Amino acid sequence: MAGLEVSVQKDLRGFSLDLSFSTGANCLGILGASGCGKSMTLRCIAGVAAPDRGRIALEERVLYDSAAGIDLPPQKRQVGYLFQNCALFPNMTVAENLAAGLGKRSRREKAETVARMVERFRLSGLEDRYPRQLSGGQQQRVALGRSLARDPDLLLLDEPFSALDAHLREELLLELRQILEEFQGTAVLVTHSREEAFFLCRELLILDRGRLSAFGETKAIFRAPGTVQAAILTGCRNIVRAERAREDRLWVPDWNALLTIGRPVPEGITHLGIPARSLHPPEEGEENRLAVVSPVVMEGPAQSQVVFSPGEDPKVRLWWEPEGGAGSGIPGELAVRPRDILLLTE
Amino acid sequence: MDFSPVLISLKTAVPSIAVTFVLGLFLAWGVAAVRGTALRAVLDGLLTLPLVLPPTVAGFFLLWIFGVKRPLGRLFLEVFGVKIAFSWGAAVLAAVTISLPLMYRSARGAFEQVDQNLLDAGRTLGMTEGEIFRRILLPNALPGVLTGGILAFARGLGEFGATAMIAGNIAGKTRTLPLAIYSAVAAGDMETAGRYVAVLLVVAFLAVAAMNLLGEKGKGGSRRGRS
Repeated sequence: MAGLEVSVQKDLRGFSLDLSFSTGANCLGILGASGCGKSMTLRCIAGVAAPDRGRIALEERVLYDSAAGIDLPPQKRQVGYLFQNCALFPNMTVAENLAAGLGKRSRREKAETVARMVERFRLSGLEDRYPRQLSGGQQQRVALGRSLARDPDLLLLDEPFSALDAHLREELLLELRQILEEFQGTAVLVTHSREEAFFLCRELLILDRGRLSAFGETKAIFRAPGTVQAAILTGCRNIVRAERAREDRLWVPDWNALLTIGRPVPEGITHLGIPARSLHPPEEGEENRLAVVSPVVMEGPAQSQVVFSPGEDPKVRLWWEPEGGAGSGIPGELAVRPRDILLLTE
Repeated sequence: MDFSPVLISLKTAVPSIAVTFVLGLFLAWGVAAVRGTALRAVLDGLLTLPLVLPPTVAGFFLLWIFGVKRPLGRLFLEVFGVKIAFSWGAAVLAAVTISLPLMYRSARGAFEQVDQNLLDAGRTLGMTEGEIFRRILLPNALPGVLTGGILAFARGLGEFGATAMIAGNIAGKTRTLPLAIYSAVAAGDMETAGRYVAVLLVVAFLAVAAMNLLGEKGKGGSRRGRS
């Protein structure tokens, strides 16, 4: 398969990174909790950190192969890297930053490339400013321009939105999607935000303490996460331990409930998940009902949530996102359609 | 007043800070790049030793290495016809030995303050390690590096113990200001000693003022490119 092939093992503090995947996507998202090894994976691909063992190849080029003793320095990998804090050189102007990766190209060629990047990233008039004189969004555009100026074969984006204000973030999400479309090569985005991953990434890899937890088409993973960690990271609020009770039924001890899933229970299912918005007040004769008590309404600006205790234990919670807000009354029971129940493995 | 100590001090302090500055800078860069933690700790310790030992101990070692009867001292004398001990060169050597740790440590501290991501960004942009040093590391560590340079200069100017041991206290030749102050006081000439003290005070004050000025600038200049 063309594109990027990665297989890395590295001991990190408290756990080990052990990950294999290959992708040609634009772009692949790596979604994981903070400290799960996702940034380290990017750093290994770029060559600014070394794995203990493994192999990394980009198109036909081997960047790293511990068995063959190959470890290309980052300078020779032709990989564009967008750092979390942009990592613009504070002592250089915008134009100098944009030209920083152009190496030994002629003065004229450099000037042309810089002019092209200024145009493309809407930086005209800012060429002589220093990074500290730019807004967060402008800094990010400079950083993107700087890494794309040297035509990298691969673009790595390390949590590009984490340092930005919320309103700026949404604008830049749109911009970044357009830039990724123009880039056309393979790109990898590391994030802990499911919105970013969903919006920007065609493929998604869920990383859980250094291990691959789920990998596939983004929309498919959001539809059927398959693992507990993937369900958490894709935003499923209600995840509980479940046991196979009958052919198509799961017993949920925490909720004291027997739920029909409408299909045979596959081997190895340990948990089930119900997205908060999949719950609804039961209709006449509907099964899969959960008696709910002690509601707490969490009002949000756009969407409200109601938190219930479905059982005796107050620590066991059930999150409900009522369609159209909580104004229409709080029911004593909630139901879930069998097909909306996510089947998960640990 | 005999101005020779002032001139000798300048003639010693200026070349020695030039050597110390460049050497300290490259040692800081080199030691920071050493991969093995144990080796780095050993090198760091060796380079810091003269800072914590009495200067006379440094002087003892310098004599032990460059003394006329020692192999290295003899080599210089016989091959190059240069006698190091008890010469102007020895005064420079003593000043460099004593001030180098200050320069080295200040530069390392300043380098460590530079965001590592900047260096990694340079690497992914294809810059060589030398370019990264020259275009990213050094410019962004400059206020701290210059502060270290001033500190080292002041320390070199005030060097007494090691200088007395290896360069001696030869009037008009190796008698720097600190030695002249000592000699004047020993001879009971408090007035001359006072004048020399005044010169040193002015220089030291100027150095501290310059350092504070750089510190203020550093605060403005080292702001990272974040929103």
